[in-house]
Amino acid sequence: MSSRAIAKTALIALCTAGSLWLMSATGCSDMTFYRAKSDYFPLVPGSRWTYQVAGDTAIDSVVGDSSVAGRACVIVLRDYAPEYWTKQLTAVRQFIQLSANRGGYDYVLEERYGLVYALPFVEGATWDESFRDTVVLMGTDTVFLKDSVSGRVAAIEDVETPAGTYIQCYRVDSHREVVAAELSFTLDYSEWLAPGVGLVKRKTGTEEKVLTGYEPGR
Amino acid sequence: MLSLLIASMLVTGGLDAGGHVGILFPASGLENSHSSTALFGINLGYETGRSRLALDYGYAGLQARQASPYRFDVHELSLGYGYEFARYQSTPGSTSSWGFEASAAAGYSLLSRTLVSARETGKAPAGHVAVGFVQRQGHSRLSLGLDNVIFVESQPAGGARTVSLTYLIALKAGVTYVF
Repeated sequence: MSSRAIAKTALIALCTAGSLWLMSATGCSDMTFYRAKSDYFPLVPGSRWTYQVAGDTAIDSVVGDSSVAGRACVIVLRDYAPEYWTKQLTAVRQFIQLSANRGGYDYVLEERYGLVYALPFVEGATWDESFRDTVVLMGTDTVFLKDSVSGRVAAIEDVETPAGTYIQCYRVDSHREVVAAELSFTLDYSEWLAPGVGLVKRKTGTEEKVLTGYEPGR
Repeated sequence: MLSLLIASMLVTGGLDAGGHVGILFPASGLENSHSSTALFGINLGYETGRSRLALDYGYAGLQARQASPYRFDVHELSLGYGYEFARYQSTPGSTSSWGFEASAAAGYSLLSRTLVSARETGKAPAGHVAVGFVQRQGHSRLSLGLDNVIFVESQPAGGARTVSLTYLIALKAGVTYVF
């Protein structure tokens, strides 16, 4: 057998074996690259999400860019109410404005971009942020403010919704606690974020919000 | 047939061992959040005529684009075949030569994404198509080439199947000792 014939046979044998192997081995993948390169919170203008919440329909959409509190942000209409979001490679933040009314006037207690998600998502990752301040209203009324948030990437799950099945979703469990006089509240919720889509499901106590339609922006 | 092929190659071929270093450039969407990184590896080759079989281990640790304690480790073992389609000898009868080689390989990777104490692990098969320059002198074999790596992943999604291809480009330089 000449070396040229050996080479040709080896090439054919390897190509055949390699192709067969690649076809069979793809089932043994864990979609790690897929998750690593996917955008789990796309803020593309023109994007529109339709949800079902307790029998009602809610619509979220990205309408464009703006600048709020000296920072470039993206305007998201959540049920037609504007929200201001920023997204960087390491965090997604939402503009928070908390005001208390005293004597017919609104006094701003908190005005900043608060952390919502720390990026990139890796199962088991955690984050927290706490904001504290003391505000004196009308000269005598002292309000102590504490706004803390913590989150954890709890799991990687596939989610079935009326809009379809979304694979490799990250489930993020969050806790937010606001202590600010009559504005105090505590909130625990879980969110499922799908690659290239964003929020597909949100569960707060017994209330569920699920995606029924998604139109990507351009 | 396979045993005949292996036997023929063992009789006519030569063994070499060495390593390589290079730069790995992420593409196909991965470059949005990951920066290019150094790679290194070791390999064992068997050459007969213009053909070469190589068993290769490579490692690369992709970093986040912004300062972050995030890292994406890729460990890969691959088996490939290369053919030197052009070979030139320095002088007739000399042991030194240079040429150009095209190769294809199939590999399997163990993956790990870490962020502080959080860690995800995974695995994925990969295909390689490479082209490079080769130079031999005495017992040394030097190579410089471009390796195109495609990681293939798939998962059933509802009634369909989602297939994800991730493309990475590697610029590699290697040296091996020919026994």
